Amino acid sequence: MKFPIPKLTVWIPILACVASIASSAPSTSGSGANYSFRDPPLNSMGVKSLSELRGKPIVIDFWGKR
Amino acid sequence: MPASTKLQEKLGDDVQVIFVESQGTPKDVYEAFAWKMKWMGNRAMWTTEPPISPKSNGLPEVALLGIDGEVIMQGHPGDFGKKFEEAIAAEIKKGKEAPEGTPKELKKAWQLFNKGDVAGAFAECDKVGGDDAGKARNEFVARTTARVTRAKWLIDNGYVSEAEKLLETLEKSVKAQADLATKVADQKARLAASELADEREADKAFTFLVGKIAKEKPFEDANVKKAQQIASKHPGTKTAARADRFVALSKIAVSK
Repeated sequence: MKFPIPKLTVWIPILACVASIASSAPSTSGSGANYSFRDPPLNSMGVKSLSELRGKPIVIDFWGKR
Repeated sequence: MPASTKLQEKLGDDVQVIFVESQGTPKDVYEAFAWKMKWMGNRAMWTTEPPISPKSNGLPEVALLGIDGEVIMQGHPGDFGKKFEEAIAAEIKKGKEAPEGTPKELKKAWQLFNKGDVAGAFAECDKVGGDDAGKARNEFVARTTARVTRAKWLIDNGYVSEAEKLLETLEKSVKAQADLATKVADQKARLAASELADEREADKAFTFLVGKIAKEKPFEDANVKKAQQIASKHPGTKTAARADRFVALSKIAVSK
């Protein structure tokens, strides 16, 4: 049995939609050089993204309260 | 945790520590916990958003991002030993030099800029001339403007003494540079405005209190009472809101 393959006109909007979702996802992997915080960190003193800290080293400490 | 706190306290503005709470603890609870553990009172930031993906599922984990934002080291803190601090020191040194690939004739401009002499750096760019000098000049303008924007944010949010310190440094740095000097002067004028007097007094009192108690027993009754007094004495200020938050945090029951 053969399945019908949708025409190109169907695929284009689907691919565009997938690309749009991917590009709007928060940057949480790879280089974090340009990461923008959705909610400014405590004590951030106005810093909203890592790019604003460029020029100084950044230490990220993953920890858990529990 | 304590190691990164110590790093922030030891290296001050040369480094930025960002603590990422990774077990879904509510913001108020982990902030109260951090106060109780005497980890507050420095420039470290606190968030639940990981700016980079953790490498493993286990905690703790640390990562070092270099001055250009690239990950240099990442893993369990115990894996690195002294190498971690050495790498930070190397990045700080690099941050005070001209960026890699800077033409030889523009190194002096970068040296001057990194020492805080923005006007001197501009003069050096003008002397050298050409596209590269123009690019360096634009970078100096962008970085300095970002600092002025930060000063504005500090004023808007009631961090008056911090804004004063920053603007004083900037004023010296940009003298004789009309555009930047005007931007700095605008913010200095805001600082001098009479409507900021109450905020200034409140911020001074609360900053002093936090500096004094952060490493002692922050939530001791006497300290909480002092924060409460600052909030009551300066109603409607941004600092009063900070003091009220401190009081609210002190009431959250957290176990060490």
